[in-house]
Amino acid sequence: MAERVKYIKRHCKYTEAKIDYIDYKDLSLLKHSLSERFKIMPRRLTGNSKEAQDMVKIAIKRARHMALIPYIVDNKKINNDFWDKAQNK
Amino acid sequence: MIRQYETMFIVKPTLTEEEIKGRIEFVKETLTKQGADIKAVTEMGMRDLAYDIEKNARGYYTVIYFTAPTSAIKELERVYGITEDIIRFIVVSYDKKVEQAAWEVMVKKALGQPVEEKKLSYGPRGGDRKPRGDRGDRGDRGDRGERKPYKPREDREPKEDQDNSAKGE
Repeated sequence: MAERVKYIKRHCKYTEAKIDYIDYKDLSLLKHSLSERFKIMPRRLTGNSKEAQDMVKIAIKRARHMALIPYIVDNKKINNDFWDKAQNK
Repeated sequence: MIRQYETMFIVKPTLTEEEIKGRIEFVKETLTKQGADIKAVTEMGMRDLAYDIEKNARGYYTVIYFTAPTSAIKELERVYGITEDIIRFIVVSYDKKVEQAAWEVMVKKALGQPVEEKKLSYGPRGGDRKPRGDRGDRGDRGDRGERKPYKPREDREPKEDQDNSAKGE
């Protein structure tokens, strides 16, 4: 008998909050779908709906282009208080 | 064809305040010359860049919401490209109905009108449940009285040597 993998049922936070468009300037919305190293988190980990993931993907790429969030995290100068700084503005 | 757009650009931080204002006015002028209708302007101000652009660690962010004929965008991007003081720009078009609605909301927000803010909830699941309120302490339950004296059980044989189980088989 094959071992059964336990799945946790996840919910799309964007759908729950009734967000129909994710703006690339709103970093608080993007934070949920970013990993610690600012990678885009996969849908299987965040539970995002397909529509939300499509929007968030585009928004993150735009935000990266405009230097609102980094493309990569430099090991030599890690910015730990990035989100605290971003919230103040 | 008139479409709804949004443009964001970053001006070099080395300029003086007046020069920065001048660059923003310059962009606005180029837009109006191309037949664009500027709806709202938001200045996000001086911000730290997430990574260095042309050796600049900071930049002055400005967002302009406007409607314009599609031909204006090409000219705008050309102007952006040849203006050295603008280090990064983006032009976003809002075409779908959902996007257009979001654009209207963003314009309202930029004009300082009250807008319903939507935020992600990070509470536990079933976060819609109403708070249960403070139900207060349980209060004193009184003295428990004296313990019953130890009495060996009748249905079990008396215990043999202790730690027998720990040694295993």
